[in-house]
Amino acid sequence: MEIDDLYQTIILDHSKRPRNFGELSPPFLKGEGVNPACGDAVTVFVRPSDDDRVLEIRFTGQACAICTASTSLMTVQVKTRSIREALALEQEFLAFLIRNGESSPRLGNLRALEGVKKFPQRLKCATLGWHALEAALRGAGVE
Amino acid sequence: MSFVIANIHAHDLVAYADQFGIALRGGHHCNQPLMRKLGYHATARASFYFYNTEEEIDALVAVLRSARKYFG
Repeated sequence: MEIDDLYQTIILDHSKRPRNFGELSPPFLKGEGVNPACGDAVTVFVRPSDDDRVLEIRFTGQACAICTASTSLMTVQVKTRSIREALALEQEFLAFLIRNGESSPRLGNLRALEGVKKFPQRLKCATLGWHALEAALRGAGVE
Repeated sequence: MSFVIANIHAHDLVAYADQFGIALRGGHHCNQPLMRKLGYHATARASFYFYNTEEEIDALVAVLRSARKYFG
């Protein structure tokens, strides 16, 4: 079934058992993503290290399987990266998904979301967590 | 008729049912105030009319059952 391209095993796994799910105790940077059209809502919490790395990252919210899985995979990929690298990875992921960009190994398991390209109405689901992350990281003031 | 299935977001249900030729709608249905009051983040909706048959309803039920297995 074509839907299997969308809901690959790793996507279903991350949607049922999202990694890094929950709140962070303060202090943290916070970003929110809401899609009022469908009800997806996620909040991303980041604790940066002194040298501007993503020391800790968690997320909460209620969202569809694609959004939950994408955000979960995102937290795994960006944890311990520098803030600059995390923001660059966001652009790489968006390019991969929306503009048929390169599928680089840096994206890791995020490449499992490639099936979303066949279901354009789910693009917002796959990218919502990333926009929330960007909102959080912009608060770090790293250029 | 609006409904929810535990642990399956309406968005995913709609995508799944679409594969079987069943058109559902999912989300807020342009009615966020009521959704907020009732405490739902999203629901799925099947809109029946006089041209729908019992067989089609049986097909919908079968798809919803198989969705429960698919999304585990």
